Amino acid sequence: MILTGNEIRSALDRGEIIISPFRSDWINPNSYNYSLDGAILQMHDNLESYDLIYLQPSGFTLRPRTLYLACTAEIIGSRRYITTLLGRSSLGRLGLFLNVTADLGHVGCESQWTLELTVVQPLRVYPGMRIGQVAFWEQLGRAMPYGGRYHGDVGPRPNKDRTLAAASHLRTVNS
Amino acid sequence: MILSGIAIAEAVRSGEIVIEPFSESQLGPNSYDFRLGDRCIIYQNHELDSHTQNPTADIAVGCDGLVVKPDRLYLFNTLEMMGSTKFVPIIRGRSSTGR
Repeated sequence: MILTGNEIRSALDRGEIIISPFRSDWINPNSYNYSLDGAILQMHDNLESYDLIYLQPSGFTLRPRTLYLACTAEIIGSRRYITTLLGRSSLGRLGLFLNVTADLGHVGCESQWTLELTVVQPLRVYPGMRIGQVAFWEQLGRAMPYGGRYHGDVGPRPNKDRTLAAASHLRTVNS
Repeated sequence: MILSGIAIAEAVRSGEIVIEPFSESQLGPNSYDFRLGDRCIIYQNHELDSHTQNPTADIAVGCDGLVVKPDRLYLFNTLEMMGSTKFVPIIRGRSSTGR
Protein backbone atom coordinates (compact mmCIF):
# COMPACT_ATOMS: atom_id res chain seq x y z
CA MET A 1 0.00 0.00 0.00
CA ILE A 2 1.34 3.43 -0.95
CA LEU A 3 1.09 6.32 1.49
CA THR A 4 -0.93 9.41 0.72
CA GLY A 5 0.68 12.82 1.09
CA ASN A 6 -1.35 13.33 4.27
CA GLU A 7 -0.03 10.07 5.71
CA ILE A 8 3.55 11.00 4.79
CA ARG A 9 3.03 14.18 6.81
CA SER A 10 1.61 12.24 9.77
CA ALA A 11 4.49 9.73 9.65
CA LEU A 12 6.94 12.65 9.72
CA ASP A 13 5.23 13.98 12.82
CA ARG A 14 5.40 10.50 14.41
CA GLY A 15 9.09 10.24 13.54
CA GLU A 16 8.52 7.21 11.31
CA ILE A 17 9.72 9.05 8.21
CA ILE A 18 12.70 11.39 8.06
CA ILE A 19 12.91 14.10 5.40
CA SER A 20 15.39 16.83 6.27
CA PRO A 21 15.09 19.62 5.35
CA PHE A 22 11.33 19.35 4.84
CA ARG A 23 8.95 21.74 3.06
CA SER A 24 5.22 21.17 3.42
CA ASP A 25 4.55 22.61 -0.06
CA TRP A 26 6.57 19.79 -1.68
CA ILE A 27 4.08 17.10 -0.62
CA ASN A 28 2.21 15.47 -3.53
CA PRO A 29 -0.93 13.27 -3.42
CA ASN A 30 1.27 10.15 -2.99
CA SER A 31 4.86 11.34 -2.77
CA TYR A 32 7.26 14.08 -1.68
CA ASN A 33 9.44 16.07 -4.07
CA TYR A 34 13.16 16.05 -3.39
CA SER A 35 15.84 18.35 -4.73
CA LEU A 36 19.24 18.02 -6.39
CA ASP A 37 22.30 18.51 -4.21
CA GLY A 38 25.10 20.72 -5.45
CA ALA A 39 27.77 18.05 -6.04
CA ILE A 40 27.70 15.58 -8.94
CA LEU A 41 30.10 12.83 -9.96
CA GLN A 42 30.61 12.63 -13.71
CA MET A 43 31.68 9.04 -14.20
CA HIS A 44 34.44 8.22 -16.66
CA ASP A 45 33.92 5.50 -19.24
CA ASN A 46 35.70 2.95 -17.03
CA LEU A 47 33.04 3.60 -14.34
CA GLU A 48 35.80 3.64 -11.74
CA SER A 49 37.11 7.18 -11.77
CA TYR A 50 35.14 10.38 -12.03
CA ASP A 51 35.16 14.14 -11.99
CA LEU A 52 33.58 15.85 -8.99
CA ILE A 53 31.52 18.77 -10.22
CA TYR A 54 30.15 21.52 -8.00
CA LEU A 55 27.03 22.97 -9.58
CA GLN A 56 26.95 26.74 -9.84
CA PRO A 57 23.70 28.73 -9.68
CA SER A 58 24.03 29.21 -13.46
CA GLY A 59 23.58 25.43 -13.84
CA PHE A 60 25.41 22.58 -15.51
CA THR A 61 24.63 20.76 -18.76
CA LEU A 62 24.37 16.98 -18.50
CA ARG A 63 25.54 15.22 -21.67
CA PRO A 64 24.14 12.05 -23.28
CA ARG A 65 26.05 8.78 -23.06
CA THR A 66 27.47 9.78 -19.69
CA LEU A 67 26.51 8.51 -16.26
CA TYR A 68 26.19 11.08 -13.51
CA LEU A 69 25.88 10.22 -9.84
CA ALA A 70 24.15 12.98 -7.95
CA CYS A 71 22.27 12.89 -4.67
CA THR A 72 19.24 14.25 -2.94
CA ALA A 73 19.82 17.46 -1.02
CA GLU A 74 17.57 15.97 1.66
CA ILE A 75 18.30 13.17 4.10
CA ILE A 76 15.42 10.75 3.47
CA GLY A 77 14.50 7.46 5.07
CA SER A 78 12.17 5.45 7.20
CA ARG A 79 12.49 2.62 9.67
CA ARG A 80 8.93 1.54 8.96
CA TYR A 81 8.15 2.30 5.32
CA ILE A 82 9.86 1.31 2.08
CA THR A 83 11.00 4.16 -0.14
CA THR A 84 10.94 4.25 -3.92
CA LEU A 85 12.84 6.98 -5.67
CA LEU A 86 11.04 8.21 -8.73
CA GLY A 87 11.65 10.90 -11.26
CA ARG A 88 9.26 13.71 -12.04
CA SER A 89 7.13 13.61 -15.14
CA SER A 90 8.07 17.19 -16.02
CA LEU A 91 11.75 16.22 -16.21
CA GLY A 92 11.11 12.83 -17.78
CA ARG A 93 9.54 14.80 -20.61
CA LEU A 94 12.92 16.49 -21.04
CA GLY A 95 14.63 13.11 -21.32
CA LEU A 96 16.09 12.94 -17.82
CA PHE A 97 16.20 9.33 -16.61
CA LEU A 98 16.68 8.82 -12.89
CA ASN A 99 17.33 5.52 -11.05
CA VAL A 100 15.79 3.50 -13.87
CA THR A 101 16.90 0.06 -12.78
CA ALA A 102 17.15 0.49 -9.01
CA ASP A 103 14.42 2.65 -7.56
CA LEU A 104 13.77 0.47 -4.53
CA GLY A 105 15.08 1.76 -1.23
CA HIS A 106 15.34 -0.50 1.79
CA VAL A 107 13.53 0.04 5.01
CA GLY A 108 15.84 1.47 7.65
CA CYS A 109 18.17 3.26 5.24
CA GLU A 110 18.37 6.97 6.03
CA SER A 111 20.73 8.97 3.85
CA GLN A 112 21.18 11.43 1.08
CA TRP A 113 20.11 9.06 -1.70
CA THR A 114 22.40 8.69 -4.67
CA LEU A 115 20.69 9.51 -7.97
CA GLU A 116 21.78 7.76 -11.16
CA LEU A 117 21.20 10.33 -13.89
CA THR A 118 21.34 9.93 -17.64
CA VAL A 119 19.91 12.15 -20.37
CA VAL A 120 18.77 11.53 -23.93
CA GLN A 121 19.63 15.02 -25.14
CA PRO A 122 21.87 17.58 -23.39
CA LEU A 123 19.98 19.04 -20.43
CA ARG A 124 20.90 21.94 -18.18
CA VAL A 125 20.18 21.32 -14.48
CA TYR A 126 20.50 23.55 -11.45
CA PRO A 127 21.46 22.95 -7.80
CA GLY A 128 18.45 22.79 -5.51
CA MET A 129 15.96 22.16 -8.30
CA ARG A 130 13.13 19.72 -7.64
CA ILE A 131 14.45 16.71 -9.49
CA GLY A 132 12.41 13.73 -8.29
CA GLN A 133 9.84 12.39 -5.88
CA VAL A 134 9.97 9.74 -3.20
CA ALA A 135 7.05 7.47 -2.43
CA PHE A 136 6.61 5.42 0.75
CA TRP A 137 5.05 1.97 0.97
CA GLU A 138 3.80 -0.20 3.80
CA GLN A 139 5.47 -3.61 3.80
CA LEU A 140 3.71 -6.93 4.20
CA GLY A 141 5.33 -9.43 6.57
CA ARG A 142 7.86 -9.28 9.37
CA ALA A 143 10.58 -6.71 8.69
CA MET A 144 14.16 -7.77 7.98
CA PRO A 145 16.94 -5.55 9.30
CA TYR A 146 18.74 -3.48 6.65
CA GLY A 147 22.37 -4.46 6.09
CA GLY A 148 23.38 -0.83 6.03
CA ARG A 149 25.58 -0.76 2.93
CA TYR A 150 24.46 2.71 1.93
CA HIS A 151 22.93 3.81 5.25
CA GLY A 152 24.06 7.23 6.38
CA ASP A 153 25.49 8.20 3.00
CA VAL A 154 26.33 11.86 2.58
CA GLY A 155 26.87 13.06 -0.96
CA PRO A 156 26.75 10.92 -4.12
CA ARG A 157 28.28 7.48 -3.56
CA PRO A 158 29.72 5.29 -6.31
CA ASN A 159 29.28 1.52 -6.36
CA LYS A 160 30.67 -0.15 -3.23
CA ASP A 161 31.04 -3.61 -4.77
CA ARG A 162 34.63 -3.18 -5.84
CA THR A 163 37.66 -1.07 -5.18
CA LEU A 164 37.06 2.35 -6.53
CA ALA A 165 39.32 4.92 -7.96
CA ALA A 166 42.34 6.05 -6.11
CA ALA A 167 42.21 9.67 -5.08
CA SER A 168 44.55 10.53 -7.94
CA HIS A 169 41.76 9.70 -10.38
CA LEU A 170 39.40 12.19 -8.84
CA ARG A 171 39.34 15.56 -10.52
CA THR A 172 37.36 18.49 -9.25
CA VAL A 173 35.68 20.55 -11.93
CA ASN A 174 33.66 23.69 -11.48
CA SER A 175 30.79 23.78 -13.94
CA MET B 1 -0.92 -3.64 -2.70
CA ILE B 2 -1.36 -4.09 -6.41
CA LEU B 3 -4.62 -4.89 -8.21
CA SER B 4 -5.14 -8.10 -10.14
CA GLY B 5 -6.30 -7.87 -13.73
CA ILE B 6 -9.74 -9.09 -12.61
CA ALA B 7 -9.89 -6.34 -9.98
CA ILE B 8 -8.86 -3.76 -12.61
CA ALA B 9 -11.74 -4.88 -14.84
CA GLU B 10 -14.18 -4.68 -11.92
CA ALA B 11 -12.96 -1.19 -11.03
CA VAL B 12 -13.38 -0.10 -14.65
CA ARG B 13 -16.98 -1.40 -14.56
CA SER B 14 -17.68 0.36 -11.25
CA GLY B 15 -16.12 3.62 -12.48
CA GLU B 16 -13.28 3.72 -9.94
CA ILE B 17 -10.82 3.37 -12.82
CA VAL B 18 -11.23 5.04 -16.20
CA ILE B 19 -9.67 3.33 -19.24
CA GLU B 20 -11.23 4.53 -22.47
CA PRO B 21 -11.38 2.70 -24.83
CA PHE B 22 -11.20 -0.51 -22.76
CA SER B 23 -10.73 -4.06 -24.02
CA GLU B 24 -10.55 -7.10 -21.72
CA SER B 25 -8.04 -8.64 -24.14
CA GLN B 26 -5.46 -6.04 -23.00
CA LEU B 27 -5.68 -7.07 -19.33
CA GLY B 28 -2.60 -8.70 -17.79
CA PRO B 29 -2.40 -10.57 -14.46
CA ASN B 30 -1.63 -7.29 -12.65
CA SER B 31 -1.82 -4.58 -15.29
CA TYR B 32 -3.51 -3.29 -18.39
CA ASP B 33 -1.62 -2.92 -21.69
CA PHE B 34 -2.02 0.58 -23.12
CA ARG B 35 -1.39 1.47 -26.72
CA LEU B 36 0.72 4.09 -28.46
CA GLY B 37 -1.14 7.15 -29.66
CA ASP B 38 -0.56 8.58 -33.13
CA ARG B 39 0.68 12.01 -32.09
CA CYS B 40 4.35 12.65 -31.42
CA ILE B 41 6.39 15.72 -30.57
CA ILE B 42 10.11 16.32 -30.51
CA TYR B 43 12.16 19.25 -29.23
CA GLN B 44 13.34 21.81 -31.75
CA ASN B 45 16.59 22.45 -29.91
CA HIS B 46 19.10 19.69 -29.24
CA GLU B 47 20.19 21.22 -25.93
CA LEU B 48 17.38 21.51 -23.36
CA ASP B 49 17.10 23.60 -20.22
CA SER B 50 15.09 22.51 -17.19
CA HIS B 51 14.41 26.15 -16.24
CA THR B 52 12.98 27.38 -19.54
CA GLN B 53 10.27 26.45 -22.02
CA ASN B 54 11.77 24.23 -24.70
CA PRO B 55 9.99 24.67 -28.07
CA THR B 56 8.58 21.51 -29.65
CA ALA B 57 7.50 20.40 -33.11
CA ASP B 58 4.80 17.92 -34.12
CA ILE B 59 5.76 14.82 -36.07
CA ALA B 60 3.24 12.97 -38.19
CA VAL B 61 3.13 9.24 -37.51
CA GLY B 62 1.68 7.39 -40.48
CA CYS B 63 0.34 3.86 -40.85
CA ASP B 64 3.80 2.69 -41.86
CA GLY B 65 5.16 3.70 -38.46
CA LEU B 66 7.99 5.91 -37.27
CA VAL B 67 11.60 4.86 -36.76
CA VAL B 68 12.77 6.35 -33.45
CA LYS B 69 16.49 7.15 -33.41
CA PRO B 70 18.96 7.18 -30.54
CA ASP B 71 20.01 10.48 -28.92
CA ARG B 72 16.63 12.07 -29.50
CA LEU B 73 13.65 12.27 -27.20
CA TYR B 74 10.15 11.50 -28.53
CA LEU B 75 7.00 12.31 -26.58
CA PHE B 76 3.87 10.32 -27.40
CA ASN B 77 0.51 10.05 -25.71
CA THR B 78 -1.27 6.86 -24.76
CA LEU B 79 -4.12 6.02 -27.11
CA GLU B 80 -6.33 5.48 -24.07
CA MET B 81 -7.62 8.06 -21.61
CA MET B 82 -6.68 6.62 -18.21
CA GLY B 83 -7.00 7.59 -14.58
CA SER B 84 -8.45 6.85 -11.18
CA THR B 85 -9.70 8.84 -8.24
CA LYS B 86 -9.08 5.87 -5.92
CA PHE B 87 -5.99 4.00 -7.14
CA VAL B 88 -2.47 5.27 -7.85
CA PRO B 89 -1.45 4.39 -11.42
CA ILE B 90 2.06 3.29 -12.36
CA ILE B 91 3.03 3.57 -16.02
CA ARG B 92 5.38 0.79 -17.10
CA GLY B 93 6.89 -0.52 -20.31
CA ARG B 94 6.41 -4.04 -21.59
CA SER B 95 9.13 -6.64 -21.35
CA SER B 96 8.74 -7.54 -25.02
CA THR B 97 9.55 -4.00 -26.19
CA GLY B 98 12.12 -3.53 -23.42
CA ARG B 99 14.06 -6.42 -24.99
